[in-house]
Amino acid sequence: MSGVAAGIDFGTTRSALTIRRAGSVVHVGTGDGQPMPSVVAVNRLTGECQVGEEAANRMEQLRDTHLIVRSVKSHLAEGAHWEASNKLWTAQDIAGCIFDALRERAENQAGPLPESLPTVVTTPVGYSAAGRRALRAAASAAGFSIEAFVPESTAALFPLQGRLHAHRFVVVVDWGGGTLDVSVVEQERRSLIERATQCLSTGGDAIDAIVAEWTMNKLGRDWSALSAADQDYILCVAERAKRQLSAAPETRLAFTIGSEHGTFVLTRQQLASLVAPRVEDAIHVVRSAIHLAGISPDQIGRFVFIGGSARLRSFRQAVQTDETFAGQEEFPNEPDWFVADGAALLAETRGRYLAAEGAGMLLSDGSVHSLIQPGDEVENLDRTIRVGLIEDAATAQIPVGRFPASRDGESWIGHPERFHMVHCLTVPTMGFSDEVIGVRFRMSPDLTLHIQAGSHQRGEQSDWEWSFQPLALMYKLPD
Amino acid sequence: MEEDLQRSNIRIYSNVFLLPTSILDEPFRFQVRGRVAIRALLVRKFGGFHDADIANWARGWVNDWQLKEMRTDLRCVHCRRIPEGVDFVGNISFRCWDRRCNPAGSIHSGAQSVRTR
Repeated sequence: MSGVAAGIDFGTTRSALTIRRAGSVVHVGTGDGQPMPSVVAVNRLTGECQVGEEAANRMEQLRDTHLIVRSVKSHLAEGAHWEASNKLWTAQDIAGCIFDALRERAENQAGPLPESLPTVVTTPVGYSAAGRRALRAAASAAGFSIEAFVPESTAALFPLQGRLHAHRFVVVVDWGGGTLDVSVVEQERRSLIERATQCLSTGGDAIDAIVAEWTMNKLGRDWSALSAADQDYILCVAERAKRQLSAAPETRLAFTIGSEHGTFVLTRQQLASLVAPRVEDAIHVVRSAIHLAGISPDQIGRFVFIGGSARLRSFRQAVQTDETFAGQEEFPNEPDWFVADGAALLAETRGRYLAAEGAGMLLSDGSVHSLIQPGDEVENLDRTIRVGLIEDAATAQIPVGRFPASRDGESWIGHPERFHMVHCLTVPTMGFSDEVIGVRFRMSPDLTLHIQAGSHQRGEQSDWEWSFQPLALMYKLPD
Repeated sequence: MEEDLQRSNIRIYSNVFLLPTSILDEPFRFQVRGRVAIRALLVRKFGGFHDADIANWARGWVNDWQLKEMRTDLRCVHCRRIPEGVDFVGNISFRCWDRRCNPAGSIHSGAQSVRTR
Protein backbone atom coordinates (compact mmCIF):
# COMPACT_ATOMS: atom_id res chain seq x y z
CA MET A 1 0.00 0.00 0.00
CA SER A 2 3.03 2.28 0.22
CA GLY A 3 3.76 4.83 -2.50
CA VAL A 4 0.32 6.42 -2.29
CA ALA A 5 0.09 10.15 -1.69
CA ALA A 6 -2.72 12.68 -1.76
CA GLY A 7 -3.08 16.39 -2.41
CA ILE A 8 -6.16 18.25 -1.24
CA ASP A 9 -7.31 21.63 -2.46
CA PHE A 10 -9.74 22.35 0.35
CA GLY A 11 -11.50 25.23 -1.32
CA THR A 12 -14.03 27.75 -0.07
CA THR A 13 -16.39 26.90 -2.91
CA ARG A 14 -15.14 23.53 -4.15
CA SER A 15 -12.73 20.89 -2.91
CA ALA A 16 -10.52 18.64 -4.99
CA LEU A 17 -8.51 15.56 -4.09
CA THR A 18 -5.75 14.11 -6.23
CA ILE A 19 -4.39 10.65 -5.45
CA ARG A 20 -1.02 9.65 -6.87
CA ARG A 21 -0.14 5.97 -6.85
CA ALA A 22 2.85 4.55 -8.71
CA GLY A 23 2.88 7.42 -11.17
CA SER A 24 -0.84 7.26 -11.94
CA VAL A 25 -3.16 10.08 -11.00
CA VAL A 26 -6.77 9.84 -9.86
CA HIS A 27 -8.91 12.98 -9.58
CA VAL A 28 -11.56 12.67 -6.91
CA GLY A 29 -14.51 15.03 -7.11
CA THR A 30 -17.98 14.83 -8.56
CA GLY A 31 -19.25 12.12 -10.88
CA ASP A 32 -18.59 14.31 -13.92
CA GLY A 33 -14.94 14.91 -13.08
CA GLN A 34 -15.30 18.33 -11.44
CA PRO A 35 -14.07 19.28 -7.95
CA MET A 36 -16.70 18.63 -5.28
CA PRO A 37 -18.76 21.60 -4.04
CA SER A 38 -17.74 22.43 -0.45
CA VAL A 39 -21.35 22.40 0.70
CA VAL A 40 -22.69 20.36 3.59
CA ALA A 41 -26.40 19.93 4.37
CA VAL A 42 -27.20 18.53 7.82
CA ASN A 43 -30.71 17.22 8.46
CA ARG A 44 -32.03 19.26 11.37
CA LEU A 45 -33.88 16.25 12.82
CA THR A 46 -31.69 13.24 12.13
CA GLY A 47 -28.25 14.83 11.79
CA GLU A 48 -27.71 12.97 8.51
CA CYS A 49 -25.27 14.77 6.21
CA GLN A 50 -25.33 15.34 2.50
CA VAL A 51 -22.10 16.60 1.03
CA GLY A 52 -20.98 18.00 -2.28
CA GLU A 53 -23.20 18.18 -5.35
CA GLU A 54 -26.01 16.33 -3.50
CA ALA A 55 -26.27 19.28 -1.16
CA ALA A 56 -25.30 22.05 -3.60
CA ASN A 57 -27.83 21.10 -6.29
CA ARG A 58 -30.73 20.76 -3.85
CA MET A 59 -30.06 23.75 -1.63
CA GLU A 60 -33.40 25.37 -2.44
CA GLN A 61 -35.37 22.23 -1.55
CA LEU A 62 -33.31 21.49 1.54
CA ARG A 63 -33.21 24.94 3.07
CA ASP A 64 -36.28 24.43 5.32
CA THR A 65 -35.29 21.02 6.66
CA HIS A 66 -31.51 21.16 6.67
CA LEU A 67 -28.72 23.26 8.05
CA ILE A 68 -26.75 24.25 4.99
CA VAL A 69 -23.13 25.30 5.44
CA ARG A 70 -21.15 26.77 2.57
CA SER A 71 -17.64 28.23 2.62
CA VAL A 72 -16.75 26.43 5.85
CA LYS A 73 -13.07 27.19 5.25
CA SER A 74 -13.74 30.85 5.98
CA HIS A 75 -15.20 29.88 9.39
CA LEU A 76 -12.60 27.34 10.54
CA ALA A 77 -10.22 29.77 12.18
CA GLU A 78 -12.90 31.65 14.08
CA GLY A 79 -14.34 28.46 15.59
CA ALA A 80 -17.85 28.99 14.23
CA HIS A 81 -20.62 26.57 15.18
CA TRP A 82 -24.25 25.80 14.30
CA GLU A 83 -27.05 23.88 15.94
CA ALA A 84 -28.86 21.00 14.27
CA SER A 85 -30.37 17.70 15.47
CA ASN A 86 -29.82 18.71 19.11
CA LYS A 87 -26.11 18.90 18.51
CA LEU A 88 -23.58 21.66 18.17
CA TRP A 89 -21.80 21.38 14.82
CA THR A 90 -18.44 23.11 14.80
CA ALA A 91 -16.77 24.29 11.62
CA GLN A 92 -14.27 21.49 12.20
CA ASP A 93 -17.13 18.92 12.22
CA ILE A 94 -18.45 20.32 8.94
CA ALA A 95 -14.95 20.27 7.40
CA GLY A 96 -14.68 16.67 8.65
CA CYS A 97 -17.83 15.80 6.64
CA ILE A 98 -16.13 17.12 3.50
CA PHE A 99 -12.94 15.15 4.18
CA ASP A 100 -15.04 12.01 4.90
CA ALA A 101 -16.87 12.43 1.60
CA LEU A 102 -13.61 12.90 -0.30
CA ARG A 103 -12.13 9.82 1.34
CA GLU A 104 -15.20 7.71 0.55
CA ARG A 105 -15.22 8.81 -3.08
CA ALA A 106 -11.46 8.22 -3.34
CA GLU A 107 -11.82 4.64 -2.13
CA ASN A 108 -14.66 4.05 -4.59
CA GLN A 109 -12.52 5.36 -7.45
CA ALA A 110 -9.00 4.31 -6.52
CA GLY A 111 -9.59 1.27 -4.32
CA PRO A 112 -8.55 0.84 -0.67
CA LEU A 113 -6.23 3.51 0.71
CA PRO A 114 -3.83 3.40 3.65
CA GLU A 115 -5.46 4.15 7.00
CA SER A 116 -3.24 7.18 7.38
CA LEU A 117 -2.75 8.60 3.92
CA PRO A 118 0.21 11.02 3.53
CA THR A 119 -1.38 14.25 2.34
CA VAL A 120 -0.41 17.80 1.50
CA VAL A 121 -3.22 20.30 1.93
CA THR A 122 -3.26 23.73 0.33
CA THR A 123 -4.34 26.85 2.18
CA PRO A 124 -4.70 30.51 1.26
CA VAL A 125 -1.59 32.64 1.71
CA GLY A 126 -1.37 33.66 5.35
CA TYR A 127 -4.03 31.20 6.55
CA SER A 128 -4.11 31.36 10.32
CA ALA A 129 -2.52 28.83 12.65
CA ALA A 130 -5.92 28.15 14.23
CA GLY A 131 -7.35 27.37 10.80
CA ARG A 132 -4.47 24.99 10.03
CA ARG A 133 -4.92 23.20 13.33
CA ALA A 134 -8.65 22.75 12.72
CA LEU A 135 -7.96 21.50 9.18
CA ARG A 136 -5.37 19.04 10.47
CA ALA A 137 -7.78 17.67 13.08
CA ALA A 138 -10.66 17.35 10.62
CA ALA A 139 -8.48 15.68 7.98
CA SER A 140 -6.87 13.35 10.46
CA ALA A 141 -10.26 12.03 11.62
CA ALA A 142 -10.97 11.10 8.00
CA GLY A 143 -7.67 9.24 7.59
CA PHE A 144 -5.58 11.95 5.92
CA SER A 145 -2.25 12.51 7.60
CA ILE A 146 -1.24 16.08 6.76
CA GLU A 147 2.48 16.20 6.02
CA ALA A 148 2.55 19.86 5.05
CA PHE A 149 0.51 22.90 4.16
CA VAL A 150 1.29 24.78 0.95
CA PRO A 151 -0.10 28.07 -0.36
CA GLU A 152 -2.68 27.37 -3.06
CA SER A 153 -1.15 29.70 -5.61
CA THR A 154 2.31 28.15 -5.20
CA ALA A 155 1.02 24.56 -5.40
CA ALA A 156 -0.67 25.35 -8.72
CA LEU A 157 2.71 25.99 -10.32
CA PHE A 158 4.07 22.47 -9.68
CA PRO A 159 2.09 20.70 -12.43
CA LEU A 160 2.96 23.58 -14.79
CA GLN A 161 6.66 23.61 -14.01
CA GLY A 162 7.54 21.39 -16.95
CA ARG A 163 5.96 23.81 -19.41
CA LEU A 164 7.02 27.03 -17.71
CA HIS A 165 10.49 26.05 -16.52
CA ALA A 166 12.16 28.34 -19.06
CA HIS A 167 10.79 31.42 -17.29
CA ARG A 168 12.83 32.50 -14.32
CA PHE A 169 9.96 34.36 -12.68
CA VAL A 170 6.36 33.22 -12.84
CA VAL A 171 3.38 34.76 -11.07
CA VAL A 172 0.42 32.55 -10.18
CA VAL A 173 -2.84 34.24 -9.26
CA ASP A 174 -5.51 32.01 -7.74
CA TRP A 175 -8.76 33.92 -7.33
CA GLY A 176 -11.12 31.51 -5.64
CA GLY A 177 -14.30 31.68 -3.61
CA GLY A 178 -12.82 33.16 -0.45
CA THR A 179 -9.50 34.77 -1.28
CA LEU A 180 -7.22 35.95 -4.02
CA ASP A 181 -3.74 34.48 -3.55
CA VAL A 182 -0.68 35.56 -5.44
CA SER A 183 2.69 33.82 -5.53
CA VAL A 184 5.68 35.36 -7.24
CA VAL A 185 7.91 32.37 -7.79
CA GLU A 186 11.48 32.13 -8.98
CA GLN A 187 12.37 28.88 -10.69
CA GLU A 188 15.86 27.53 -10.73
CA ARG A 189 16.68 23.91 -11.48
CA ARG A 190 14.63 21.78 -9.09
CA SER A 191 13.69 24.60 -6.78
CA LEU A 192 10.74 26.88 -6.59
CA ILE A 193 11.37 29.88 -4.45
CA GLU A 194 8.53 32.07 -3.35
CA ARG A 195 9.86 35.56 -3.76
CA ALA A 196 6.65 37.07 -2.46
CA THR A 197 3.13 36.04 -1.61
CA GLN A 198 0.11 38.24 -1.13
CA CYS A 199 -3.49 37.62 -0.20
CA LEU A 200 -6.70 39.58 -0.60
CA SER A 201 -9.66 38.46 1.46
CA THR A 202 -12.09 38.94 -1.37
CA GLY A 203 -13.24 36.14 -3.59
CA GLY A 204 -16.25 34.78 -5.37
CA ASP A 205 -18.31 34.83 -2.15
CA ALA A 206 -17.85 38.59 -1.85
CA ILE A 207 -18.87 39.04 -5.49
CA ASP A 208 -21.97 36.90 -4.91
CA ALA A 209 -22.83 39.10 -1.93
CA ILE A 210 -22.57 42.22 -4.12
CA VAL A 211 -24.94 40.72 -6.69
CA ALA A 212 -27.30 39.49 -3.96
CA GLU A 213 -27.48 42.91 -2.32
CA TRP A 214 -28.03 44.56 -5.68
CA THR A 215 -30.95 42.18 -6.26
CA MET A 216 -32.52 42.99 -2.91
CA ASN A 217 -32.10 46.73 -3.54
CA LYS A 218 -33.95 46.31 -6.84
CA LEU A 219 -36.72 44.55 -4.95
CA GLY A 220 -36.77 47.30 -2.34
CA ARG A 221 -35.85 44.89 0.46
CA ASP A 222 -33.24 45.45 3.11
CA TRP A 223 -30.55 42.78 2.74
CA SER A 224 -29.59 42.88 6.40
CA ALA A 225 -33.22 42.31 7.46
CA LEU A 226 -33.39 38.93 5.66
CA SER A 227 -33.06 35.75 7.69
CA ALA A 228 -29.76 33.87 7.43
CA ALA A 229 -31.47 31.09 5.45
CA ASP A 230 -32.95 33.58 2.98
CA GLN A 231 -29.62 35.36 2.61
CA ASP A 232 -27.98 32.03 1.87
CA TYR A 233 -30.64 31.22 -0.69
CA ILE A 234 -30.25 34.57 -2.49
CA LEU A 235 -26.47 34.13 -2.44
CA CYS A 236 -26.91 30.79 -4.25
CA VAL A 237 -29.14 32.45 -6.85
CA ALA A 238 -26.54 35.20 -7.30
CA GLU A 239 -23.72 32.69 -7.62
CA ARG A 240 -25.58 30.77 -10.30
CA ALA A 241 -26.29 33.98 -12.23
CA LYS A 242 -22.62 34.95 -12.04
CA ARG A 243 -21.57 31.60 -13.49
CA GLN A 244 -24.15 31.81 -16.27
CA LEU A 245 -22.80 35.21 -17.29
CA SER A 246 -19.44 33.71 -18.20
CA ALA A 247 -21.23 31.92 -21.08
CA ALA A 248 -24.16 34.21 -21.91
CA PRO A 249 -24.45 38.01 -22.29
CA GLU A 250 -27.35 38.17 -19.83
CA THR A 251 -29.12 35.99 -17.32
CA ARG A 252 -32.32 35.94 -15.33
CA LEU A 253 -32.35 35.90 -11.54
CA ALA A 254 -35.56 34.28 -10.30
CA PHE A 255 -36.28 33.72 -6.62
CA THR A 256 -38.99 33.36 -4.01
CA ILE A 257 -38.77 34.73 -0.49
CA GLY A 258 -41.82 33.83 1.56
CA SER A 259 -44.77 34.81 -0.67
CA GLU A 260 -42.71 37.28 -2.68
CA HIS A 261 -41.43 36.33 -6.13
CA GLY A 262 -38.80 38.30 -8.00
CA THR A 263 -37.28 38.10 -11.46
CA PHE A 264 -34.53 40.39 -12.70
CA VAL A 265 -32.30 40.44 -15.71
CA LEU A 266 -28.62 40.91 -15.02
CA THR A 267 -26.34 41.73 -17.94
CA ARG A 268 -22.58 41.28 -18.20
CA GLN A 269 -22.22 45.03 -18.36
CA GLN A 270 -24.13 45.45 -15.09
CA LEU A 271 -22.08 42.74 -13.40
CA ALA A 272 -18.87 44.37 -14.65
CA SER A 273 -19.78 47.73 -13.14
CA LEU A 274 -20.89 46.08 -9.86
CA VAL A 275 -17.59 44.24 -9.43
CA ALA A 276 -15.29 46.89 -10.92
CA PRO A 277 -13.85 47.97 -7.53
CA ARG A 278 -13.07 44.33 -6.65
CA VAL A 279 -11.37 43.78 -10.00
CA GLU A 280 -9.29 46.90 -9.43
CA ASP A 281 -8.32 45.63 -5.94
CA ALA A 282 -7.35 42.25 -7.40
CA ILE A 283 -5.00 43.78 -9.97
CA HIS A 284 -3.56 46.08 -7.33
CA VAL A 285 -2.69 43.06 -5.14
CA VAL A 286 -0.88 41.38 -8.04
CA ARG A 287 1.15 44.55 -8.65
CA SER A 288 1.90 44.84 -4.96
CA ALA A 289 3.20 41.23 -4.82
CA ILE A 290 5.56 41.96 -7.72
CA HIS A 291 6.75 45.10 -5.96
CA LEU A 292 7.27 43.13 -2.75
CA ALA A 293 9.38 40.61 -4.64
CA GLY A 294 11.67 43.45 -5.66
CA ILE A 295 11.42 42.76 -9.36
CA SER A 296 9.85 44.66 -12.22
CA PRO A 297 6.84 43.33 -14.16
CA ASP A 298 8.93 43.01 -17.34
CA GLN A 299 11.09 40.36 -15.62
CA ILE A 300 8.05 38.12 -15.20
CA GLY A 301 7.94 35.44 -17.90
CA ARG A 302 4.36 34.35 -17.34
CA PHE A 303 1.28 35.33 -15.32
CA VAL A 304 -1.01 32.34 -14.74
CA PHE A 305 -4.57 33.08 -13.61
CA ILE A 306 -6.63 30.27 -12.11
CA GLY A 307 -9.64 29.93 -9.80
CA GLY A 308 -13.35 30.42 -10.34
CA SER A 309 -13.33 34.19 -9.92
CA ALA A 310 -10.56 34.59 -12.52
CA ARG A 311 -13.16 33.48 -15.06
CA LEU A 312 -15.02 36.77 -14.62
CA ARG A 313 -15.02 38.36 -18.04
CA SER A 314 -14.47 41.87 -16.71
CA PHE A 315 -11.42 40.63 -14.79
CA ARG A 316 -9.96 38.97 -17.87
CA GLN A 317 -10.51 42.10 -19.92
CA ALA A 318 -8.90 44.26 -17.25
CA VAL A 319 -5.87 41.93 -17.15
CA GLN A 320 -5.57 41.81 -20.92
CA THR A 321 -5.56 45.60 -21.22
CA ASP A 322 -3.32 46.28 -18.20
CA GLU A 323 0.27 47.08 -19.16
CA THR A 324 1.59 45.29 -16.04
CA PHE A 325 0.97 41.95 -17.73
CA ALA A 326 2.28 42.96 -21.16
CA GLY A 327 0.59 40.08 -22.94
CA GLN A 328 2.29 37.43 -20.77
CA GLU A 329 -0.95 36.45 -19.06
CA GLU A 330 -2.55 33.06 -19.50
CA PHE A 331 -5.88 31.66 -18.36
CA PRO A 332 -5.50 27.87 -18.64
CA ASN A 333 -8.54 26.04 -19.96
CA GLU A 334 -8.77 23.34 -17.31
CA PRO A 335 -7.23 24.80 -14.16
CA ASP A 336 -9.58 23.08 -11.68
CA TRP A 337 -7.09 20.39 -10.65
CA PHE A 338 -3.83 22.35 -10.72
CA VAL A 339 -3.82 23.10 -7.00
CA ALA A 340 -4.66 19.56 -5.86
CA ASP A 341 -2.25 18.06 -8.43
CA GLY A 342 0.56 20.30 -7.18
CA ALA A 343 -0.17 19.34 -3.59
CA ALA A 344 -0.16 15.63 -4.49
CA LEU A 345 3.20 16.00 -6.26
CA LEU A 346 4.59 17.55 -3.10
CA ALA A 347 3.12 14.77 -0.98
CA GLU A 348 4.74 12.15 -3.20
CA THR A 349 8.15 13.78 -3.59
CA ARG A 350 8.61 15.83 -0.49
CA GLY A 351 10.67 18.93 -0.94
CA ARG A 352 12.50 20.62 1.87
CA TYR A 353 10.93 23.67 3.33
CA LEU A 354 13.48 26.38 3.64
CA ALA A 355 13.00 29.91 4.85
CA ALA A 356 13.32 32.47 2.12
CA GLU A 357 13.30 35.21 4.74
CA GLY A 358 15.01 35.41 8.07
CA ALA A 359 13.51 35.79 11.50
CA GLY A 360 15.14 37.05 14.62
CA MET A 361 15.00 39.29 17.63
CA LEU A 362 16.24 42.79 18.14
CA LEU A 363 18.92 43.32 20.78
CA SER A 364 19.62 46.36 22.90
CA ASP A 365 22.47 47.55 20.66
CA GLY A 366 20.11 47.71 17.67
CA SER A 367 21.53 44.58 16.05
CA VAL A 368 19.36 41.68 14.98
CA HIS A 369 20.12 38.26 16.42
CA SER A 370 18.98 35.93 13.68
CA LEU A 371 17.25 32.69 14.59
CA ILE A 372 16.27 31.66 11.13
CA GLN A 373 18.55 32.63 8.28
CA PRO A 374 17.29 32.71 4.71
CA GLY A 375 17.94 29.21 3.41
CA ASP A 376 17.60 27.51 6.81
CA GLU A 377 15.33 24.51 7.13
CA VAL A 378 12.42 25.59 9.24
CA GLU A 379 10.93 22.21 10.06
CA ASN A 380 11.92 20.75 13.44
CA LEU A 381 13.48 24.02 14.48
CA ASP A 382 13.84 24.16 18.27
CA ARG A 383 16.31 26.65 19.67
CA THR A 384 16.66 28.45 22.98
CA ILE A 385 18.57 31.70 23.38
CA ARG A 386 19.70 33.10 26.76
CA VAL A 387 19.39 36.83 27.16
CA GLY A 388 19.74 39.20 30.08
CA LEU A 389 18.07 42.48 30.98
CA ILE A 390 20.41 45.43 30.47
CA GLU A 391 18.54 47.96 32.61
CA ASP A 392 16.60 48.10 35.83
CA ALA A 393 13.10 47.53 34.47
CA ALA A 394 10.05 45.52 35.51
CA THR A 395 9.75 43.88 32.12
CA ALA A 396 12.03 42.74 29.35
CA GLN A 397 10.98 43.98 25.92
CA ILE A 398 11.97 41.57 23.17
CA PRO A 399 10.99 42.68 19.66
CA VAL A 400 10.66 39.72 17.29
CA GLY A 401 10.38 40.08 13.54
CA ARG A 402 11.60 39.22 10.12
CA PHE A 403 14.21 40.43 7.71
CA PRO A 404 14.27 39.79 3.99
CA ALA A 405 16.83 37.67 2.18
CA SER A 406 19.52 39.77 0.54
CA ARG A 407 19.62 39.48 -3.21
CA ASP A 408 23.36 39.69 -3.71
CA GLY A 409 24.47 37.49 -0.86
CA GLU A 410 25.33 40.49 1.34
CA SER A 411 24.56 39.93 4.98
CA TRP A 412 21.90 42.14 6.48
CA ILE A 413 22.69 41.13 10.02
CA GLY A 414 23.36 44.28 11.97
CA HIS A 415 21.12 46.31 9.69
CA PRO A 416 18.17 47.01 11.95
CA GLU A 417 16.55 49.18 9.26
CA ARG A 418 15.83 45.92 7.41
CA PHE A 419 14.15 44.43 10.47
CA HIS A 420 10.34 44.44 10.42
CA MET A 421 9.00 43.96 13.90
CA VAL A 422 6.05 41.58 14.02
CA HIS A 423 5.58 41.36 17.78
CA CYS A 424 7.19 42.54 20.98
CA LEU A 425 7.33 39.94 23.76
CA THR A 426 6.99 41.41 27.22
CA VAL A 427 8.45 39.29 30.00
CA PRO A 428 8.07 40.15 33.73
CA THR A 429 11.48 40.37 35.38
CA MET A 430 13.06 41.00 38.77
CA GLY A 431 14.86 44.13 37.65
CA PHE A 432 18.56 44.32 36.86
CA SER A 433 20.20 41.23 38.29
CA ASP A 434 21.79 37.99 37.23
CA GLU A 435 18.39 36.86 35.96
CA VAL A 436 18.52 34.67 32.85
CA ILE A 437 15.70 35.03 30.36
CA GLY A 438 15.27 32.07 28.05
CA VAL A 439 13.69 32.67 24.65
CA ARG A 440 12.63 29.43 22.99
CA PHE A 441 11.76 29.26 19.31
CA ARG A 442 10.00 26.09 18.23
CA MET A 443 8.44 25.33 14.86
CA SER A 444 5.29 23.19 14.93
CA PRO A 445 4.30 20.88 12.06
CA ASP A 446 1.67 23.51 11.11
CA LEU A 447 4.53 25.89 10.31
CA THR A 448 3.66 27.95 13.32
CA LEU A 449 6.56 29.44 15.18
CA HIS A 450 5.94 29.19 18.90
CA ILE A 451 7.96 31.71 20.83
CA GLN A 452 8.10 31.35 24.57
CA ALA A 453 10.09 33.67 26.78
CA GLY A 454 10.43 33.61 30.51
CA SER A 455 12.71 34.34 33.40
CA HIS A 456 14.33 31.27 34.88
CA GLN A 457 13.97 32.78 38.35
CA ARG A 458 10.35 33.95 38.17
CA GLY A 459 8.86 31.03 36.28
CA GLU A 460 6.28 33.23 34.49
CA GLN A 461 6.25 32.69 30.76
CA SER A 462 5.27 34.96 27.95
CA ASP A 463 3.98 32.98 24.99
CA TRP A 464 3.36 34.05 21.48
CA GLU A 465 2.41 32.09 18.43
CA TRP A 466 3.60 33.36 15.09
CA SER A 467 1.78 31.77 12.16
CA PHE A 468 4.88 32.46 10.14
CA GLN A 469 2.83 34.18 7.47
CA PRO A 470 5.38 36.72 6.43
CA LEU A 471 7.97 34.08 5.75
CA ALA A 472 7.98 32.89 2.21
CA LEU A 473 9.07 29.31 1.71
CA MET A 474 11.44 27.64 -0.67
CA TYR A 475 10.66 24.20 -2.06
CA LYS A 476 13.51 22.00 -3.15
CA LEU A 477 12.44 18.94 -5.05
CA PRO A 478 14.79 16.00 -4.91
CA ASP A 479 16.81 15.53 -8.12
CA MET B 1 8.79 63.97 0.38
CA GLU B 2 5.85 61.63 0.67
CA GLU B 3 8.11 59.03 2.25
CA ASP B 4 9.26 61.59 4.81
CA LEU B 5 5.68 62.34 5.74
CA GLN B 6 4.97 58.66 6.25
CA ARG B 7 8.04 58.00 8.37
CA SER B 8 7.30 56.84 11.87
CA ASN B 9 8.42 59.02 14.75
CA ILE B 10 8.79 56.17 17.20
CA ARG B 11 11.66 53.73 17.44
CA ILE B 12 11.64 50.14 18.57
CA TYR B 13 13.91 49.50 21.52
CA SER B 14 14.96 46.24 22.99
CA ASN B 15 16.24 46.03 26.56
CA VAL B 16 17.82 42.58 26.37
CA PHE B 17 21.19 41.35 25.16
CA LEU B 18 22.74 37.93 24.66
CA LEU B 19 23.88 36.71 28.05
CA PRO B 20 27.26 35.04 28.29
CA THR B 21 28.00 33.29 31.57
CA SER B 22 27.81 36.41 33.74
CA ILE B 23 26.51 39.95 33.46
CA LEU B 24 30.07 41.11 34.19
CA ASP B 25 31.37 39.63 30.93
CA GLU B 26 31.93 41.56 27.74
CA PRO B 27 30.11 42.50 25.60
CA PHE B 28 27.08 42.28 27.90
CA ARG B 29 28.40 44.72 30.50
CA PHE B 30 28.92 47.46 27.88
CA GLN B 31 25.21 47.22 27.06
CA VAL B 32 24.04 47.91 30.59
CA ARG B 33 22.26 51.25 30.79
CA GLY B 34 20.61 53.42 33.39
CA ARG B 35 22.18 54.63 36.59
CA VAL B 36 20.63 51.98 38.86
CA ALA B 37 21.74 49.09 36.65
CA ILE B 38 25.24 50.45 36.05
CA ARG B 39 25.68 51.07 39.77
CA ALA B 40 24.55 47.51 40.53
CA LEU B 41 27.05 46.25 37.99
CA LEU B 42 29.88 48.25 39.57
CA VAL B 43 28.94 47.11 43.06
CA ARG B 44 29.06 43.52 41.83
CA LYS B 45 32.55 44.11 40.47
CA PHE B 46 34.16 46.49 43.01
CA GLY B 47 32.01 46.19 46.11
CA GLY B 48 30.95 49.35 47.93
CA PHE B 49 32.22 52.73 46.72
CA HIS B 50 31.32 56.35 46.92
CA ASP B 51 29.59 57.64 43.83
CA ALA B 52 32.10 60.44 43.59
CA ASP B 53 34.91 57.93 43.10
CA ILE B 54 33.31 56.15 40.19
CA ALA B 55 35.64 57.71 37.64
CA ASN B 56 38.63 56.25 39.41
CA TRP B 57 37.16 52.85 40.04
CA ALA B 58 35.41 52.16 36.83
CA ARG B 59 37.28 53.95 34.06
CA GLY B 60 38.20 51.39 31.43
CA TRP B 61 35.90 48.77 32.87
CA VAL B 62 32.72 50.51 31.74
CA ASN B 63 32.59 52.88 28.80
CA ASP B 64 32.48 56.68 28.82
CA TRP B 65 28.80 56.75 28.16
CA GLN B 66 28.10 54.55 31.18
CA LEU B 67 30.27 56.82 33.34
CA LYS B 68 28.25 59.78 32.14
CA GLU B 69 25.05 57.94 32.94
CA MET B 70 26.32 57.31 36.46
CA ARG B 71 26.86 61.03 36.90
CA THR B 72 23.32 61.93 35.90
CA ASP B 73 20.99 62.18 38.88
CA LEU B 74 23.89 63.08 41.18
CA ARG B 75 23.24 66.20 43.23
CA CYS B 76 25.49 69.20 42.96
CA VAL B 77 27.43 69.70 46.21
CA HIS B 78 26.70 73.45 46.10
CA CYS B 79 23.07 73.85 45.09
CA ARG B 80 21.77 70.30 45.81
CA ARG B 81 20.06 70.28 42.44
CA ILE B 82 20.67 67.67 39.76
CA PRO B 83 22.51 69.58 37.09
CA GLU B 84 23.27 66.88 34.54
CA GLY B 85 20.96 64.88 32.36
CA VAL B 86 19.89 64.13 28.81
CA ASP B 87 19.11 67.31 26.91
CA PHE B 88 16.78 67.95 24.00
CA VAL B 89 19.29 66.87 21.36
CA GLY B 90 20.13 63.61 23.08
CA ASN B 91 23.33 64.63 24.86
CA ILE B 92 24.10 64.30 28.53
CA SER B 93 25.08 67.80 29.47
CA PHE B 94 25.76 70.07 32.37
CA ARG B 95 22.87 72.48 32.44
CA CYS B 96 22.79 74.18 35.82
CA TRP B 97 22.11 77.92 35.77
CA ASP B 98 24.19 78.44 38.92
CA ARG B 99 27.77 79.33 37.98
CA ARG B 100 29.13 77.96 41.25
CA CYS B 101 28.01 74.47 40.35
CA ASN B 102 30.38 71.84 39.11
CA PRO B 103 29.35 69.06 36.73
CA ALA B 104 28.08 66.26 38.98
CA GLY B 105 29.58 67.52 42.15
CA SER B 106 33.18 66.58 42.52
CA ILE B 107 33.49 64.47 39.40
CA HIS B 108 35.53 66.28 36.77
CA SER B 109 35.56 64.55 33.45
CA GLY B 110 36.55 67.44 31.24
CA ALA B 111 33.98 66.70 28.54
CA GLN B 112 30.77 68.58 29.11
CA SER B 113 28.48 66.36 27.12
CA VAL B 114 28.30 63.08 25.35
CA ARG B 115 25.97 62.04 22.57
CA THR B 116 23.25 59.50 23.41
CA ARG B 117 22.88 56.34 21.41
